[in-house]
Amino acid sequence: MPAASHGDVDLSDSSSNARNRALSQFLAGVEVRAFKIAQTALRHEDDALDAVQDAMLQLARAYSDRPEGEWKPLFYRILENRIRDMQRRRTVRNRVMSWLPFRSDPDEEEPDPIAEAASDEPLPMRRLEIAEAMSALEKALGDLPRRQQQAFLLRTLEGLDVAQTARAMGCSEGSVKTHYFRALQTLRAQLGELYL
Amino acid sequence: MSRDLNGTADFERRLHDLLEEGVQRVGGRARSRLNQARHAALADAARRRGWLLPMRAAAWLRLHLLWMPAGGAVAAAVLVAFVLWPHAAPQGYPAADTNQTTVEDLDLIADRDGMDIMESGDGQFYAWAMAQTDQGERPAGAPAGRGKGHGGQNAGSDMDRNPG
Repeated sequence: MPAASHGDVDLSDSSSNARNRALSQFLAGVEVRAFKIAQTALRHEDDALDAVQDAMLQLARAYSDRPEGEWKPLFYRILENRIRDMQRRRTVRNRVMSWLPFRSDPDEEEPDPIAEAASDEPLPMRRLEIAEAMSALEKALGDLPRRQQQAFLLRTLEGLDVAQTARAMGCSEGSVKTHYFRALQTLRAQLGELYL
Repeated sequence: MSRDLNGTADFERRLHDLLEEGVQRVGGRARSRLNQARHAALADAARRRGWLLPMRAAAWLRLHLLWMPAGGAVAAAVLVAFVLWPHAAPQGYPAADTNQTTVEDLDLIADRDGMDIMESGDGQFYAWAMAQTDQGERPAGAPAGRGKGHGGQNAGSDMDRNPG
């Protein structure tokens, strides 16, 4: 295969394939955590999946040529925008639906048999405790203000540092620290008896 | 203080572990959809790159190869214009030898006798000058009048030295 780098334009197929592989690895590494973050914000599995799918598409379309180190903050920035769009749309939809005489609950969904299938975990009591703790945590996280929730999840779950979180949230590093600290204080106040 | 910090650190760690546990428990349906979404995104990116790459290569060639001679020509034109600019005359006007004109003007001003002749007002000088002009326009083989006896010796000798 002919070599192919001409100045600022790389014309080789091998480079393109390597880029695709790197992007695939990146998306595979973040997709489940991104889904959990979106699910916490939207409290709806399908909406969360849609948001993550849109964020993946947007990243791949528009930013796959950017340096790989920038992908994570960019991806979460896109995801955050999608979540906000969905929340706005949902607010409008709920307002419209509230005026209709016959309406179905949009959050009503079929149970997921695969998700609810019994696992091979040997300790049912421990599993129950974890399930209760997770349920309490998800509720407490869901009740947090959006920015606090975002800062907390990006730092704690995704493991972004303060600078990356600031880029993903589009705010200063000082704001990230403030949001994160307040989130932590609130969670500790609400969940303290379960965790300490 | 340090106990409180330790407690906070422990609390953060426990929250992190719990969130990780939640990630591990994401159901098969969600994972399947995420997998499909990832492949769709990658296919879309590859498709776009497939038709963007030739376009970008063509754009690069246009920029670097086709515009290069044009850029060289423009640079050469700018260089020529820069070199010629101090001597260029306004369009529609012939070029003038400014150095010569200045010297002639200085001679006229410095020639006090000539000024006296012109200001005498008897018209003889002008008549003589007209006659000299008429003679100057004659064919080259015709005898030229020297104008002796009119205007003095200096004027006649100057005309001899600067014909035309």
